[in-house]
Order: sequence, then C-alpha cells, then structure tokens
Amino acid sequence: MAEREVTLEDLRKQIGKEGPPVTVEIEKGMIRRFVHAVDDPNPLWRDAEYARKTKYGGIIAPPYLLCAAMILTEPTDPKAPPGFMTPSIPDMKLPQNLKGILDGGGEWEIYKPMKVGDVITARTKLANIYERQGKIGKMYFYVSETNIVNQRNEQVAKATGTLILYA
Amino acid sequence: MAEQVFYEDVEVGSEIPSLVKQTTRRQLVQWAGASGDFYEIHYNKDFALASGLPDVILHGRLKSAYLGQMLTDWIGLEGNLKKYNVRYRGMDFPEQDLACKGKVTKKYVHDNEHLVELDIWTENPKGEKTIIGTAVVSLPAKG
Repeated sequence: MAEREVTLEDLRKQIGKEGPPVTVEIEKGMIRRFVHAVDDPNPLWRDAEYARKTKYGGIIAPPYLLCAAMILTEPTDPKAPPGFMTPSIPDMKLPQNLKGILDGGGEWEIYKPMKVGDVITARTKLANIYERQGKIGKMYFYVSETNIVNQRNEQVAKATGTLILYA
Repeated sequence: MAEQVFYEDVEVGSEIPSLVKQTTRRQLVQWAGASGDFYEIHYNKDFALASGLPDVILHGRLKSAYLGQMLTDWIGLEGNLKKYNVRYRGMDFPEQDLACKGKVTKKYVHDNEHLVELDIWTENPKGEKTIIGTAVVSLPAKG
C-alpha cells in the first residue's frame, strides 16, 4: 500500500491527546539521589532536623525535581533502542523521515512545595504542534503540558516541555 | 547558607550571585539514574562519538536543575521560586566550568506578594550562553 505523506494537519489532529495519569510518591531516597546528582548542599533537601525548624516543617523536594519529567512518565523500556525515551503520550504520531529529537526547553510553575510522603499525580497532554523550516530541514515542535496535583488534589505544579523533531 | 535576601535589597539591573558547576561523568550517570533520562549520549562516550559528538554532553535538564539551585540558593528559606523557563541553545561538556547567572529585570508587588523577575542563563568557558530563560520569585519584605 502506497503511504500518503503525513501532513502537519494530520499531526495536529493529535493536539489535546492525553496520556494516562502517572502517580509517584515523593520519597526521601528519591530526593537524596536528585540532590546528590546536582551536588546541591542545601540542608532544606537533606537535613531532617534543620528542615523541621523551617516554615516547611520537614524535608521538601527541590523545585527542580520537576525538571526530571521522565519520572513523571511510565518507566522507560530497558530494551528500547538507544536514545528512545518512552513518551508520556502513547501512540504519538511522529513526522515522516524522523532524523532526530532534541529537548528544546521547558517551563515549570510551582504552586506548592512537595513534601516527603506526598503522592503526586501527573497528567500530560499534547498542547500544540507546529512546524518551522530549519537550516537542515523541517523542524516540528511538540509542546506538552503536564499538570501535577498532590494527594489532596491541590495543584502543585505545571510543567511545559518542547521537543524539537527534525525531519 | 547565605543571609536571607529581602525585596528591598534587590535592584533592577543587578546580577544575583552566580553558581559555577563543574560536572563529573559520575554525576551524569547519577542524574540519569535519578531522572530516568538514559539517553546514551550523556554517559556512553562510544555512543556519543558515533553520534558525531566530540564527547558525552550534559543533560539539558541537569543544567536546568543547576539554574534552579542558583535561584533557591539566592532566595533563601523565606523566598519562593514561582516559575522558571529555559531554552536550550548549546551543548555543554563534563569537566568544564559552567556558570549559572541571573539578572533582575523587574520588581513589583502583586496580591501582597513581593515579586522579582530575572533573566537567567548558563555560560560555557568561552562565554557563550548555552541556556537562556527567565524566572519569577517572591521574596520577603522588611515591611
């Protein structure tokens, strides 16, 4: 069967598509691994005694934990081909002749601190797809929006990410 | 920890204390494990070379976390990081200085909150900006 060319219109039909909600518990060990990786000595993320005396009353996660959007997606398949990251939106239709994917940037809005023991739920949707002509070919921008709530259904944060797909 | 910074201490146009990070290859593996971003260009040099890169490169999101650290260091216990965004413009490599910087662009009071807006960026050893972005924080007021 001769395949018809996938147009921007076809791709844009996916806008609004949502991934399954992903629930993660904010654990002390998770926070410790993050702050060790970043090499951030701030005792608010590390020292329970210190943190107890602050307005937070205990250890909180650094807001940049949100930068690790991958913890808010389903676990990556260990046998996935190199470089492939499980998208949080299943069966996402990609441009034809895909040459590469780059992380274009992100935005994080923080409404409430994430404390040890909080259980957060992230819901991601495809917010926009647009196209630009780059030097080496077409670039498709996939913009995702993730809303994060805690166990009390309070909105904790919103994350926006832009993936650049080269075709 | 530095002393608490107050809204009144902040002047539009002034830079905040910079944070210089030098990333080890071990840290790249640690970040991969903590964040779940296991793209091989960040820790497998053979893979990075085969991909046309001169070496493994830092995760963009690790660099974003560094900018987050710079901001939370600056605002102290009483400040709140409300929002920040980044655009990735260039690659950075381990075992090199990466300077995280910020400059105040605006300060105002909204809904009883004392807000400060900043331009933020990372700078490689050549002085090139490899991330640019903006941030909004709230600071305590001396009142």
